[in-house]
Amino acid sequence: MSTYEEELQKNLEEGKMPVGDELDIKAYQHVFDALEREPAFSLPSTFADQVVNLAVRKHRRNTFKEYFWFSFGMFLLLIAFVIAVALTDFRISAGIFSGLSSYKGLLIFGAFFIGLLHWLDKQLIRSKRTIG
Amino acid sequence: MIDDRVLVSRVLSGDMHAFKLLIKQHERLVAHMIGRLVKNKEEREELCQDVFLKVYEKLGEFSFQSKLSTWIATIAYRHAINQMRKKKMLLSDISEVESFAANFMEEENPESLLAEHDLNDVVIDLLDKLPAPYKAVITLYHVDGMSYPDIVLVTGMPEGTVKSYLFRARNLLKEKVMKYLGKEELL
Repeated sequence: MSTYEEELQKNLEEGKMPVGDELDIKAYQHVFDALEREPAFSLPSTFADQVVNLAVRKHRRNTFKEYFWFSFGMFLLLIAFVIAVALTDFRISAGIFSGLSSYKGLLIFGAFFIGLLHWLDKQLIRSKRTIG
Repeated sequence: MIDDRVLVSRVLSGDMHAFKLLIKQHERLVAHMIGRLVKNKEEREELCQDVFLKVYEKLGEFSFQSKLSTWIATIAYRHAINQMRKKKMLLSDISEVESFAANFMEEENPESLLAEHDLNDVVIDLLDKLPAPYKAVITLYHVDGMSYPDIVLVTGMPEGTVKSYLFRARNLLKEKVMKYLGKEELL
């Protein structure tokens, strides 16, 4: 495209009096007028409500899926635990726990640390991602 | 008009009225982009819905590096382009401009077109025949009043390409208008 054409377009855009062939100027004016018009396609007045409803439904579906898979995972874990207990003939004894009493400080720190991680997750990450 | 940051944080905290407001504020922008790029009228509304659902889903990732409207327009543009790729619609890059321009100018010149429509409609019909990136740039610039840097963000094209598409498209349209109308009608 020539510099002449570019200059014509720039001048018309800036509202300056373009210098050039009258035919070119008039044709460009027609083009600019038409391009400023909004496309004919518009959305219905209920569009925003429709999208909000869809988003809510989608969020509910996703939440349900998350709970479902979480419950399913817990169920499988329980089954695995039962099978493991059955296969190894495991007997619950307090002996192992009595040994842990000498690490009281470590246990308290562990519980506190896990609680802190959960709190940070809720404050910094989940609050940014949770929607609906 | 609520500030973008306030609006986004309200939506992220689960306020659906804020999301509705966000849609109301940007639905015209999305409708312009989808309406101009996607020819199938039945698909347009559904695509606009998809765009806003994607906005809702990804809003937590929006980092305010650009205006919210620019970010939403980017999603709309990419969604429309992906849709067109799926349907194998006309997509063109700068290397194809010359061959496209030649075909565009050689196309039939039905006089009935002008008899049935006014000149503005004829220009819009001609615009619809341009490749998608041309139409996107023209729409963002002329209808939505975006700046070159914003159009660069939306389309991912270099600024030189954006300007080239814009000037070239207007030049092609002007040549076609001159061809349609002839000297007598223009003067």
